[in-house]
Amino acid sequence: MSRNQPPEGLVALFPPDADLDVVRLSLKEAGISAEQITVLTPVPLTTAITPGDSSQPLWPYVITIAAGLVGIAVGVFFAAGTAALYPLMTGGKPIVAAPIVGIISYETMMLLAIVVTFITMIVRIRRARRDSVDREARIDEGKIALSVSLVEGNQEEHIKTLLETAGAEDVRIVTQLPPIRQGIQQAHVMAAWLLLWINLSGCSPDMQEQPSYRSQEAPRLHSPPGSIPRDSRAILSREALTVGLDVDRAAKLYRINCLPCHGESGEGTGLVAPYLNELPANLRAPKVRALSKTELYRIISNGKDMMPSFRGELSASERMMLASFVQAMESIATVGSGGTAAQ
Amino acid sequence: MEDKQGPPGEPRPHRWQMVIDLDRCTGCEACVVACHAENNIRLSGPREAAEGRAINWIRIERYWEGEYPDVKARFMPVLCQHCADAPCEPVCPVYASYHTPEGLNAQVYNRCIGVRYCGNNCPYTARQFNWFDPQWDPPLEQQLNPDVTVRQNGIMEKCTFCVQRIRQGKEQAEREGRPVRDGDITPACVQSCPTTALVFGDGNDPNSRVAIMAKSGRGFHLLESLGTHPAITYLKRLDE
Amino acid sequence: MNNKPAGWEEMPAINRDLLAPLAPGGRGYVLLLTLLAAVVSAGAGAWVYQIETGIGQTNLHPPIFWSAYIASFVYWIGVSHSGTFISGVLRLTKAEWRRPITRVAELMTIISVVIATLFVFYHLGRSWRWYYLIPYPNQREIWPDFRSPLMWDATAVFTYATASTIYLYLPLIPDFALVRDRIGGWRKPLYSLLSLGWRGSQREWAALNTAIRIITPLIVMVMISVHSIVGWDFGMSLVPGWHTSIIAPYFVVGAVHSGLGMVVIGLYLVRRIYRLDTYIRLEHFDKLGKLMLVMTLTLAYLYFADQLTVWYGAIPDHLSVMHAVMSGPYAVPQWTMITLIYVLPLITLTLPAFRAWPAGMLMVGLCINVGMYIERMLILTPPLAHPRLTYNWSDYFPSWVELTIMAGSLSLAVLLYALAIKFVPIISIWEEKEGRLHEQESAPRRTGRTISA
Repeated sequence: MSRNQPPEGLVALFPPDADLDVVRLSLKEAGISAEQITVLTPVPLTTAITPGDSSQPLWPYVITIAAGLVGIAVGVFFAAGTAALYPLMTGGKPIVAAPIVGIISYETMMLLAIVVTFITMIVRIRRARRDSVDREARIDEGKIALSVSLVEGNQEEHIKTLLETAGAEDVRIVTQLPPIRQGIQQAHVMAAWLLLWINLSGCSPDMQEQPSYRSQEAPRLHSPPGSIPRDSRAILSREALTVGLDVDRAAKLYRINCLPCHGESGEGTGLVAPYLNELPANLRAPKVRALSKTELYRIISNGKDMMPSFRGELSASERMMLASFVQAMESIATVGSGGTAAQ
Repeated sequence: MEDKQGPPGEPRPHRWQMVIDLDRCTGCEACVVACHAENNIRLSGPREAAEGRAINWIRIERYWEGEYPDVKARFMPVLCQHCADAPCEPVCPVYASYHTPEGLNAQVYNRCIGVRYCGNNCPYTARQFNWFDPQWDPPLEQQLNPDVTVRQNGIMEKCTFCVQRIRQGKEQAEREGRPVRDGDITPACVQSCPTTALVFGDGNDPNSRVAIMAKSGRGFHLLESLGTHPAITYLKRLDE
Repeated sequence: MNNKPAGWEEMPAINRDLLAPLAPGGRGYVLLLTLLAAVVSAGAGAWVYQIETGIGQTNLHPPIFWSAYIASFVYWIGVSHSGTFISGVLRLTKAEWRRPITRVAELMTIISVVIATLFVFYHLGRSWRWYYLIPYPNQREIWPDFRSPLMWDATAVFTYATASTIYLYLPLIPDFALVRDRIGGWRKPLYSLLSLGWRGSQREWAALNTAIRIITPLIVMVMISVHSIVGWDFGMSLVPGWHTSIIAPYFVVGAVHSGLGMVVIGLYLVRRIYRLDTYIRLEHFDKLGKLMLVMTLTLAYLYFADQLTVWYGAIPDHLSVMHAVMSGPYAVPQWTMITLIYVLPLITLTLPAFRAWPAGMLMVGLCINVGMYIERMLILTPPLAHPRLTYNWSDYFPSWVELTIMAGSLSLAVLLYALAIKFVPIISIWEEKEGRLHEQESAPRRTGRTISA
């Protein structure tokens, strides 16, 4: 019966009390062998009536037992074998214990036995489908159907009359098998998932970012709550506002903080300027010249465009000093490393 | 039984132990404060403390003895006992609770998934859980110890015997090309104890203070009958 | 030679009756779904809140590291024993009366296993790292620790969930085929896929019956192992009150007790809502009542044996737990529980007239389940609240987050069940038909013989 492409056939519907022996006999006379005939029923007839039927094949049981044995092996591998694979020492204590290997193996044995039995059944059912030429929905209303597959052509009319005389309520000639195919693309998705799992590491990077461990933080100074700051970096001292510009100190600050971008001449031609997407401002340009001292102070404090804030690096007084320095830039030719050259 | 630690066949270099002299303990809780400072233990605040969630790696258990008016307060510092046969270890499904070759019960923070079985199975209730993400009232967050991981919400933690100090001590000794001397390594609680009730050292060194004191006739282990073989020995004079 | 087979004539009627619940539900049904979905969303919201902020949203605190979630896990795994017990054991013993109730119970099994698994995730401190429990090769060469009872549990629950899904599905194949031939619309391809192209030939039936026959005893063994292992989660620990050798059988019997109670609830509702009085008959309530009685007595016996040992042994650690439960802060839930799961069933179920009163059986089923939920909480919490170092003694009651999540999960179970009823014939159609044929013992014997080619 291992035909890959079953030919056309017939499906006949019989009342449940029909004597199928007679039908079978007359079909045999017409040249239909027993293998070509399949009975479709709404309930299992054989097992229902004779529960201990010895004609049941033994091999499904053997498959289950074999799967169970494989399951035991899997369990032993998981609970004991991996200890050899991943030799993890926990204080020299055994990480393999016989009762536990037993418990895990029991579960994996059951798992594999049941799953493989299930798969075996699916395969058997799918293969048994080829016996019959088509399904017959009406059997579920309390009928029996007889499927006759034909090897030779031009027999169907003859068989049909034969079945009808044998008491068939309805005979259907099946000319073509309905194509039944389900997509199995899910397998690819499954494989992708599996790969994903395997690539995951066993330990999380969850606590890598540590609040207790930060590099290069600006020092943070505190005062007790309620105290009034007198000499804070954040506050402009009276001195900075009243006393005139100390050019040497300001130039020193300029060289440390500003020169890399704005350059010795202040024209925005510092060392790193060629590497910047946006050129540093030319401090001698009229646009900058037009800025008030307060505006310059604000820019130095908060930054502007690409320019970063210097609030952390410089105290308020220092920033103010630099603002005055930039304003006085006209009278200064260059702020080279040697000193300040007056124009 | 106590020699079960370390890979079999290989001699263990150290076996860290502690002795707590209950006759010296005044219950001042300096050890608790020191431990908080050293180990980046999150601050819980009064509400969580009332809920029983204040995390302490070491706590002073206070018991009352006798009937009024003749009452005595008894103090017992309890921390992770670093059992040789720790009940918390085998129950962890992911090996986050792990036994080091030097006999410490280590907790691998980033492996822990927070099933909390270890917490249940510790008869000393020494294990603590991070119920929320850690937080410190400013400016306390600035005294965090960079050598100690700040633990995330959802994982177990407990006393490590200041494993970071043990490592520093060992590295220092290695740099100087000498074995670790007794007294080189002191966990924060031991360091801060004003009455030196807590003594820490290497039990493998027969001349260390901790080894000598552990042999004292006053010695006992906490819940000894459970067979956990703690690394901490308590000393207590029996009252006449 | 064939007599008039009475069972065959009933088949169209059986089809009609048992396919009726698959029809789209009315306004009441939609209202129920909406209500359930609302509670489920509340639970989901609570869970998200808990994940965002921390497990601290529960009322857990040292030394009580486990409580409501794990108790619920145990409870739901227990309920899942309904299906396997009813269906597996009764199939094994070839009890004919099982036929109309197996499907009701098997659906419960699979849904409650899902709910139980959810509770594991609620419980985890870092649930987003749950996959560390899976043995998969990884770059750090760390394997899960199979010495932990939780790993046994994970293995067992996975096996059980897989097996019970298969076990629910097997007898469904012919029913799916039947529905496939009688339904249109978007559901038809789904049923076609699920029915594996079933046609009803004798070789198909043989394959199906062999599979059922093999899997039935296996799943009963899995069922017993699963709840034993759930019990061992506690029994393996040092906690006084947990560490007892009787805990595995005690858990299994307790699970079946609540499972049977749940089946009675389900049967009553299905019978009432879909008017299936001719299928789910008083006989079924009577027989289930007898089974429940047996379970009540067995459970009481095990409980007594356990408590007697603790009381007489008088080991202080254990005794303090017992005192807390029997006369201490947990006395009220304790005696409520005793009344609900032992006293009430014992008084009522011994009366044959009561067993034939479905509404009464429903109430007993509810009592048993409420009682078993309390019982699970009491097994977990008081022992943890009374550790050996008395300084750490504590107390516990679930927080609103825990209660919301528990309510949401219960609603999810009912919701899934209500949805499943619209998809799966709630009584196994072919098995019911087969049962009717068995009643006409003599009639189709010859037919069966000759057909077995």
